[in-house]
Amino acid sequence: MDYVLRTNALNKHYKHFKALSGLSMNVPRGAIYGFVGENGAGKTTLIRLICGLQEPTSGEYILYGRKNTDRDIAKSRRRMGAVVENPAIYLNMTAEDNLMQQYQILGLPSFDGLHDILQLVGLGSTGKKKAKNFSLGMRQRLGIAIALVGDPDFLVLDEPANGLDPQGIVEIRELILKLNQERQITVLISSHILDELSKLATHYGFIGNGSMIKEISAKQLEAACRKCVRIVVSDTKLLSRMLDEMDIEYEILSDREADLFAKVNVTKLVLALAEQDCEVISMQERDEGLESYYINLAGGGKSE
Amino acid sequence: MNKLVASEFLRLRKSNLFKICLLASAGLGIYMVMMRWYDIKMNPEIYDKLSREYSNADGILFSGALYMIFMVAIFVSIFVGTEYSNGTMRNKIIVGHIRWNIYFSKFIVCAVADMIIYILCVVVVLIFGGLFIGGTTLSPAKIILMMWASTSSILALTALLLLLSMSIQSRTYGGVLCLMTTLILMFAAVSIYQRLSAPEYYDEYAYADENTGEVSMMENVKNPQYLTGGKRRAYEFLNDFIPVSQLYQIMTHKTDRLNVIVFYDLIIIIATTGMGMAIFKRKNLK
Repeated sequence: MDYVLRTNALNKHYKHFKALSGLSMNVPRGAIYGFVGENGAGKTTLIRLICGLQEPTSGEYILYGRKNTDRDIAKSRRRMGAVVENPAIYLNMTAEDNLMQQYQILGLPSFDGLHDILQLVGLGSTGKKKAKNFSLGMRQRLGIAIALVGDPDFLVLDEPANGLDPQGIVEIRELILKLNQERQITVLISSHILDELSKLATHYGFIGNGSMIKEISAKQLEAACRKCVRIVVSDTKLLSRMLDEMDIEYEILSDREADLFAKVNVTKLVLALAEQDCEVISMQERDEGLESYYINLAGGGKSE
Repeated sequence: MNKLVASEFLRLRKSNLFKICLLASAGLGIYMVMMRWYDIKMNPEIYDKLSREYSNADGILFSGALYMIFMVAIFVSIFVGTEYSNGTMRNKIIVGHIRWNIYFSKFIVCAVADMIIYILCVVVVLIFGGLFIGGTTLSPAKIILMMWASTSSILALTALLLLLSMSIQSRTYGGVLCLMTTLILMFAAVSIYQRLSAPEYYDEYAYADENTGEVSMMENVKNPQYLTGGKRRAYEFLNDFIPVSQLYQIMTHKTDRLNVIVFYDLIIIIATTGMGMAIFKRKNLK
């Protein structure tokens, strides 16, 4: 697989505090990579490192095939745009002036495409209104617009939905999907709003205490979180024979537990099992979403 | 580097802070001329006894520099601090600009802005001084020489304040530190000047006893505060080295050490910019 970003055992220490400890992650090209973790887990620290705002204490990262220690890492950085924490905008300038600044910083020969970017993020009609008078959502979109100047291939967004109203969240989500699908921009998003993230992400990285707990694709996660009925019986051998006969998809978890991946006629199943002398001890519908998956994962990580 | 400088100048052009500083600078020039003009009108007999330089623009031509140091402190700390408080410093690093270039581009734009603010004040004094108080007797060559030296002092101060502003990520703390530093330098300059200009001996004087009417003559008394030896040399060095002291000398038309002043300014600019770049390079940005 082709990766935009790979980190290898990254460490970042602030005096005695370990913000990152041996974090390794892989962001595939074209993915929307959801970066999930509790407050203080190290999400923003990682983003600061890959944006060059801070240097790792040890370990390395590879951005578009260049190591962070390479002299020409700046060339890789030119292919990325980022909104780290709060959107980085000049509050006493208009949206257009803010973008013009970024055009100059990148040394672009003209301001071509400036209005297209503003239209894309929905700020085409802000006119002479200064950014200090923008709503939080508008500032966030302006931050993304600045990150989009220079046609980056990789967009890093740190908590883009923070503080936004429901309408704003939907708008940002649609914008990110549009950028990913229409412009093939790889996106790394850190977010607390897991429900929202689950509507976007194609890959996930779960981080805790500065380390990667698990990396998983959305497909794998979907399989892991599939809706099922957890059944506890006296003998799963008898259960499996019965389920094969009834053509029900299942997974045996232990000699007493199994997951059934179909809508089950409970009476029919229980009577059939009773005929085989197999007791049904309990049945429970399970519908694990990203949130409960993460909580189980984080809980598991903590207890280790 | 050119890209960064271009973006900085674009920002400067749109900066309200810069426009306010320009207005304040021009206003200061006009104010100084009008105050002198008013004073001459109110006290003609005093000014008649004084030499010509007191009743024209000579005496106030470079006086603005001493007020300008506070404007420089405010401008540099806010112009740079805003980059930190708005987070826009990040935009430059994220797209791959080298930190040294970012720092140096900041120095260039602040230096140019401070020079423009300062020169505007001098030009306004020259123009309004010509209109109201009879212009200046200083030769154009001397004015240029003094402008050159005072501008180099302003640049040295800019470099020092930039070092402070770039080292502190809080605009408020940065602003307070810059103003405090400028104030301290100002007090240091005044006290150094006073110590150096103190006479070695107090003048001879006579006094009459009120009761007896006896007149006594006092001989010259040595001033215990008079600086001598190494201590005097140290004070003289500081007087030439501290940018605000340099401006104080230029303001009082002491032009015999202008080359030394410019040389020291160059050292200050190189040292503070080098130190600032080294600090900024290793700084963990938020």
